[in-house]
Amino acid sequence: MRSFFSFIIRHYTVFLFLLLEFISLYFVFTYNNYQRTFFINSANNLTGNVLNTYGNFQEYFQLREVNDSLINENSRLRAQLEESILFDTASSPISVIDTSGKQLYSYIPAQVIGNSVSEPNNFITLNKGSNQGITENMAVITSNGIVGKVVKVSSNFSVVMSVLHTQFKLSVAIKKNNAMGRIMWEGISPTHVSIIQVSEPGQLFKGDTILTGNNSGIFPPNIMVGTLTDYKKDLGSNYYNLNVKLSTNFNAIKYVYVVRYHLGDERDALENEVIDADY
Amino acid sequence: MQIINWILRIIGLAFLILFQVLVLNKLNVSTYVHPYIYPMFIILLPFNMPKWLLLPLAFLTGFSMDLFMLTGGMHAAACVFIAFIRPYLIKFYTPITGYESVSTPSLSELGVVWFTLFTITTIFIHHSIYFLLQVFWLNDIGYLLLKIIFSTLISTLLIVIFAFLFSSRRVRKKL
Repeated sequence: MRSFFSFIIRHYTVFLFLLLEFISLYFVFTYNNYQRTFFINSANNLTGNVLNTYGNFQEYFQLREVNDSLINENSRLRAQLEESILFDTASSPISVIDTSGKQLYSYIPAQVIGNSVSEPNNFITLNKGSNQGITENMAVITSNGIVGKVVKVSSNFSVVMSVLHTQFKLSVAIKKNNAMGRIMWEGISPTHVSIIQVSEPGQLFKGDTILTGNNSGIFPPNIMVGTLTDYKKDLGSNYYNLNVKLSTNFNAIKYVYVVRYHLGDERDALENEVIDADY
Repeated sequence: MQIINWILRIIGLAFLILFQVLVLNKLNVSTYVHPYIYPMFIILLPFNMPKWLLLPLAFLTGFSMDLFMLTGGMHAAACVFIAFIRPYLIKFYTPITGYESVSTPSLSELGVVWFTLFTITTIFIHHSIYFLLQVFWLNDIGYLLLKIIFSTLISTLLIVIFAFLFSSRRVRKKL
């Protein structure tokens, strides 16, 4: 026993080294499974405030781009106003709300204060949190396209899993024929993603539009994802893999909208009931 | 004197981390180039530092980086590893004259060549572990190797420039 202790004391650096490496790797592997993460992240106050202060400075240098994107969006929204649409008096007017006449989606504007694009798993930090009504699993979009989904919220900050994250999942559809597929990011180019498991896409052309699908549960349907650059058939299965250029420029996102899906809870509860009942 | 030295070191570390988070991480030059300069803090620690202090200090350095970058413990793992092999590297790179009058790995007293070699080896090991943990599977080994090599070169260049800037004018003349 004595010699055992003296052995440990003599080689304490090796044991200390192994212990610290074990702790680090434990953090790595528990963190990757982001829902079980327990230790403070950049949604905590210290790092969040540093990023926020920096964001305040940086804002001034991007006013021109921000103005441009706001003007574009304003004009797009103006085009959707009732006055801008010529209604055919013979047919009934088009309704934008759901069948029961309630608001289906609402949008919370937020500012990006932390962002990365060159890691294999990228996250975005926003300057709003649970105090402003943001909860986990909300979709995040910009006026140009999709951004990601909220994975962690503190009272004044929230962290978004970017589309540029290897674990990001979303079902999408090709606009012209509604062929469904699934987004997967390979972790290399911040401007392109793959759409996998597309069955029977029909005739495709470069530049075809890809939109969010109807069944994502958190993203509103028909939000722009990107445009097709090339595609090929997956050998060994009947599926096609598409390479898509993202419409969102992840290097330059500054203002985003967090999407609240008002019927999300009801839908989840119903779907979980079916899964639990094990039909 | 010792205390002033340590205060300067901690201020230096805070500067390195802020520079890393607010400048380098936002550059996005290419997916192959992602430099990390904060290991400079570990490189510049005194030679005779006891290991029971060196290893936890390296862990904390890496972990503070992890908090900013949301990387779990990847930086901590890489930092603890370079702290562990540091004494062996120091022994391996012993100059002919030995380390008699030198207490820290400084650019001025050990020369640019020694400092660059020591830095590039440390950074190469740090980046290899970090990028390996980050990618985690080896299906694209060419991409991984190129990323490690390019990032190591840029990081080393930046660290040597920083070490040069922080040394006093008297020392700069001597070089």
